[in-house]
Amino acid sequence: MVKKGMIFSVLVVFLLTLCCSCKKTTERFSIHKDPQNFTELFDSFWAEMNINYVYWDIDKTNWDAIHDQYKPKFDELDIHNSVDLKKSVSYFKEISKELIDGHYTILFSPEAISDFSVTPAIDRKRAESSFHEPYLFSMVDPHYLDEGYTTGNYLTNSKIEITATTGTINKNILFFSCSGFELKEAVLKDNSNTLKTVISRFFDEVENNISKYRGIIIDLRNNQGGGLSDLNYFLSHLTHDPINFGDTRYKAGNGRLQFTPWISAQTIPGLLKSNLSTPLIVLVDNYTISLAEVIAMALRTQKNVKLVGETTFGATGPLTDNIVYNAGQFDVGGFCKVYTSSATYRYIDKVIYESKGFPPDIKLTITPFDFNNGKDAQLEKAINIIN
Amino acid sequence: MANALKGFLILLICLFINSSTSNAQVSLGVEGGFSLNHLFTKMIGYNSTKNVTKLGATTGLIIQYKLTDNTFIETTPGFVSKKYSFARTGLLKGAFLSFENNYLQLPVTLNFVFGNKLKFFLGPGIYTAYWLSGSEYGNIPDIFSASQQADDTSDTLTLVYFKKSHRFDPTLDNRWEFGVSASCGLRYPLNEKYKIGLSVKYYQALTSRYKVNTANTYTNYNGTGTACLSLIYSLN
Repeated sequence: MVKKGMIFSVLVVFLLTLCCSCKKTTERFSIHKDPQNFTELFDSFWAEMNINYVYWDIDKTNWDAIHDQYKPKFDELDIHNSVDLKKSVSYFKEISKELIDGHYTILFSPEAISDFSVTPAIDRKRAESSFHEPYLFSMVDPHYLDEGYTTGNYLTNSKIEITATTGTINKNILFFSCSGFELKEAVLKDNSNTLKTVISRFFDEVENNISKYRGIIIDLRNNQGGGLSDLNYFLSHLTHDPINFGDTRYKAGNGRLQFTPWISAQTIPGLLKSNLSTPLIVLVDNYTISLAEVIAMALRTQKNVKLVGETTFGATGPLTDNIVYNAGQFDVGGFCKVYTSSATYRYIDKVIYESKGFPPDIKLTITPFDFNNGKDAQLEKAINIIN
Repeated sequence: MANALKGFLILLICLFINSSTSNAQVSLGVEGGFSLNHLFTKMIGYNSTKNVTKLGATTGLIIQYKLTDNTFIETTPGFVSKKYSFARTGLLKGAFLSFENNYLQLPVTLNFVFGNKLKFFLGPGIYTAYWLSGSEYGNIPDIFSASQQADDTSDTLTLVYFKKSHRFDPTLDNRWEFGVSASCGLRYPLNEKYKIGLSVKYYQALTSRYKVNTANTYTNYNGTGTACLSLIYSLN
């Protein structure tokens, strides 16, 4: 009996172990590293979005319905046919048109469609009645500046030209504007770029001569954002205490809705001896994008800061390499590259402003007529507030 | 698998009916020890990430029903913590996400005994467990802490620690777990009434920790080993 029992139990344990090791993992949607046709390509795109997109809990797009609707359409396309390649771009446009990620962009590699891109946030902006092309403030605003202002340029590692200007208005307002954020990169570069001069002059005035000024105007209109390290670099020169400017949330697994809890977002301690009490006006518009929005929002948490202009673009989710969070931007087998946020950011009021944009304290739209006549109503409003 | 479980239950019932005619004995006891849990999942979408087995604790009551001199049924209702972690590797070393999940577990095993004074036992079983509570903690790179170094074009990120209780989502979380088990161990009589023992058990979940649907396309199964010391009292 003992021997029989032993043999039986060993057999059962062996069989159970075998059953467990043979259990199937459910993998209905495969990622193909080198998709050979549109069926595999769509499967990969759909599954990558399922894993990497960070807004699934708040996005209105029904991703399951997208699969059911577009899978048969992609099945019919021939990946070697240029007409079908172009048709696929129109399908990608339809699929992504409601995605709330303001950064969301698809760039295509095949030669026949390499000039095409999918940018749903920009398409939505263009459809709005209030849409306007960006104003070239650099043509008008120098007229408001006192003599002796400084403008500098820098070509970033990503070959984007950044222009910045600093100077004074009526001798008692300190002014700074920049078209993008790679300021720290410019300062760290060995070459003598003129942006360095602008940045050091502005920071030097804030640190050493702020008592001379009634206020500061920071113009972030038409600012496309840039390198994340500029958040702490820029704000540390304008603050003493760290700023708590909201929370971030990351993906916590390969499920569509697996997220970390919200984690407090805070800047590093600033370089100033004390917090600024001087009024600070930040000018923002529909083209204040990405990091420029986040910097404006972080500044807005301070008592002395007001935002003037238009609602910002609404691309507040930060971007970095996919490997850092196993989320965000990804490639689909060399066919296309999808740029999408790596994390979700929400402001201190717990609102996620992605897609909506951050509203200014004082909303003021510029009319093309005024602007063409050399009048920048938003800058004038900022000057009036300070005076 | 369903047939195997059905067969196991039929076997238990047959042995139980058979035992009613013999001198059946009931013993009660307590056990406690540690658990080692691993989450079996496809690591798709986890780059530079290691799936780490984590140590936890387990404790339970022992109810043994002796069927024959060489067989007994045992159930050990109790608490088992099933922890696992995803640790980042390479440049991201130091970042991790850990999950601590606490279960109330009810296993039933059929054990076959051999040996004289020092008795060895070995047997298969089935179990069910209810996911009572959970927490998540970890070190995660703070994306807004990015700082570009003077000698490099890349950014460094500061790790921030977080911990929070798990909030159950009925659309995502599978709170009931079912599975199979295997156990072995030894028992030594201290006197006529008391025995001390050491057991090693393995519980393999057959239900996914996350509900599998289009939102969660990959299954996640707990595989839990336990090692326990026990003290058993014979009622007869």
